[in-house]
Amino acid sequence: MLEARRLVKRFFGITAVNDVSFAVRRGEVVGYLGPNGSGKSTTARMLTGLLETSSGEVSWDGADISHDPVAFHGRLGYVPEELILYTFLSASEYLELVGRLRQLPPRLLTRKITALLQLFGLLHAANQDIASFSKGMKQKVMIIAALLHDPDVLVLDEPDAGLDVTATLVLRHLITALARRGKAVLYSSHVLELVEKTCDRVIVIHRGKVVADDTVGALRDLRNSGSFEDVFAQLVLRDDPARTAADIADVVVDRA
Amino acid sequence: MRDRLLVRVFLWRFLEHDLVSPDADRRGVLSAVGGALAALSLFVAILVAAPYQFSNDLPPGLTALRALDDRFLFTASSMLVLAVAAVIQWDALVLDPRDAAVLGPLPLTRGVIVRAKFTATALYAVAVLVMWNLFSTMLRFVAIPIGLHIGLAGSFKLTLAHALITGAAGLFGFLAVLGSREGLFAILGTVGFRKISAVVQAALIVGLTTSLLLLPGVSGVGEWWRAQEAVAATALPPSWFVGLHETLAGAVIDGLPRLRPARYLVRPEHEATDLYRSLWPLYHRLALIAIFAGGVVAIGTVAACVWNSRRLPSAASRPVPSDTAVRRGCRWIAMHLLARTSLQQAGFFFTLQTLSRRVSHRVAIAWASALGLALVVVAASGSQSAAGSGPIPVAVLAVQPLLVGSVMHGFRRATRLPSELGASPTFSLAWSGGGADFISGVKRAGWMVVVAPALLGLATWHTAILGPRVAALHFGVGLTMSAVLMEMTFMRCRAVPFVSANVPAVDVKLRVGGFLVALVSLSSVLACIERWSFGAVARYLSLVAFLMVLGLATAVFDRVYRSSPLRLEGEDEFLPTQRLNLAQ
Repeated sequence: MLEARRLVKRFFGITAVNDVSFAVRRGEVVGYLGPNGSGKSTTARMLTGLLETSSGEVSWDGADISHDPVAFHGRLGYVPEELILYTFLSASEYLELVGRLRQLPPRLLTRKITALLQLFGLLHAANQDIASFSKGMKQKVMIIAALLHDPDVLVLDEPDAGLDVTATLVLRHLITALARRGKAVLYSSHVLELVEKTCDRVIVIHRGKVVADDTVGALRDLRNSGSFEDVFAQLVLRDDPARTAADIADVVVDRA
Repeated sequence: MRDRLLVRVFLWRFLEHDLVSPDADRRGVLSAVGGALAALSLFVAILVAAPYQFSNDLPPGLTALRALDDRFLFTASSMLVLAVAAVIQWDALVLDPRDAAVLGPLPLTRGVIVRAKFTATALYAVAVLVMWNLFSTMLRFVAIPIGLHIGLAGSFKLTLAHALITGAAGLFGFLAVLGSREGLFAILGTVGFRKISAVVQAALIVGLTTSLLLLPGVSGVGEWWRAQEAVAATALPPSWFVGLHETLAGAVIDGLPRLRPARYLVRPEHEATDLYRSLWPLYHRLALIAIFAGGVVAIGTVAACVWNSRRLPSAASRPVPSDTAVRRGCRWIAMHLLARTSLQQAGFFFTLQTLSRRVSHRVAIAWASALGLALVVVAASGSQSAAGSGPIPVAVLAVQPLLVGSVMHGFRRATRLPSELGASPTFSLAWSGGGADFISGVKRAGWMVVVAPALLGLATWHTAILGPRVAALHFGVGLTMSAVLMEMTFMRCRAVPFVSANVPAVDVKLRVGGFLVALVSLSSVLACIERWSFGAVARYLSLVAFLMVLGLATAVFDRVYRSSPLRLEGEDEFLPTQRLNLAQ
């Protein structure tokens, strides 16, 4: 079980994440939602150990991950919000680098890279520089890199960004399939429909604080709303989106 | 207003260089580089001018002849410095696909963007030109013995001529590089140019920097021109501009009245005057070549730039390498013989990929190679005549450790530069420990692509001058010595090569000076021992065995030392600013 206990992160005195606690069990997919700048990615980076917490603790199977981050990373698959790719390498070279650093057996590594590139529709571009890839193609490489070593826990920070419709559908089913195989999955996304269909439980964060943590159905009942989108709007939106959009359009057409 | 803004953007782009940290204060970098360039040029100008102030009785003939050496130094250095400045900015000299992607969608015509880019490039060239030549021009009138009365008009004429020829030579060097780049691009196209661009850039850096480092050793230009019957003069571009200078202002000193000098100077003055005046036809010829060559390079460069600017550039990815039998064979050898564990392979292949595809890494190694080559030329030129008979000159043997030490230093410097800063978390996430294996892969790749070519190149030369037997023995020592050096190079390395975000600050004065002294001393000592060992088989075997044991001991010590984990991020490096966290 991946557990976050009272996580706090401050940047130059500004609190980005404030007292966030939750747990993701094996076989469970937990959605992590919130508007831009709410602290989702900061939480994800603290969960992976890439960002130090100001206070609080992250544990995996009861052990604090900061005690042995290398061992934890061996069981973690992480798709970050920002693409961390060596763009002068080709997709297969990058995946080989990741697999070798993870000390995967060479034959298994080659087999997995070929199969995953094929399944994600990237085999034709396997030897091209990543620099020449579209955003969606880069995102697929990131997803493959996160899955190569059969991780026990997955932290997916907007993995659907830039993906086409087919790839997004595959990703949705992939997340469910991996959870069925016992992986603990934390899934952060702005596509509410995907989250609603994929996640067992949803955590909503707003301005660094958890404002809801329950199943989609329970949240819907609690807020007495017909759709999950309405629930999300009630929890985090302070302004009327239609009014804001009209104001933006007014500014855009202003020529005086 | 819009044009000026664009030019300013392009000028700042010259500081967005792989060699400049993204977090660095750009104005600080600009001040430091400009200051260093100006300070070095002032130092050279004073060094050249000072002897004249202590030679008040130097007559006109000797002064004019000696001044040829100075003019050669200033024109050649101006040409080479500007050429190096152009090579360093190789891809930033013209519009790149990123410029096109950013500026293309804006309501700007192609002509406006292209004009702004070339204005920025011209301003960059002029800035470097001024920084390098300003002090030597201002101090031109000081580089004349006080005893010679050339008058205000003469001083002015000499200063103007100096400014003109150093400026023209510098622009010639800059345009030659820009023209070569654009010419190759026009001929080969985007994909073809990309294939060879890196190699051409690295070769130019090595060639130009080596020439620059060897420049202070040039003297006796007049005698050299006469001895070579003008062939050498017409073959070297700096000579053309020296000829132009003499044509424009040579008469200022040569035309001074010949008073009777001190007795010991009578004959040398007579000979110097004869020599200087015998070269007048050559000066005129060289001046014509300078004007013609300058015109050709300028027109050719402009034509190539205009031709390539017909449309904004588009991105071209690296051509996909074909999976040939040779490639598969090399890969098999690498994976089964050179780097057998996964981490060794990670280090090995990542090193090869970084060195072959990242400009900053290539530049680091190219500069070190240039330094090594300069040392080799200096050492070899002094000993070549003695190599034919008698004992082997120490300098001939010292060439090997000099070159290997230099390229090894460049390799170490390259490993300390991050391959791509933004992607470094890849290592944090995928790192599974075993830093020693990873570094072992890095060392093996470095040895293969940096050290082995240097050793093999020297072995060919040594075979020619020392014979196959001694060359083979020397090569054997070189092999073991390079293995020891490689182990020592990484002995105290705790940061993961090519990953650490902390680009080490180099105290150039201290480190380069100390490195050169240590390198030259140790190379000479090793060469002496080596020469002694060639006298008997037992001695030679003892030397090789000693080096092998030393290498092994270093490796074992390093393994023990490396029991502490490698540092992926620079957690205990000093930050440029210290946060007090008072608000927390």
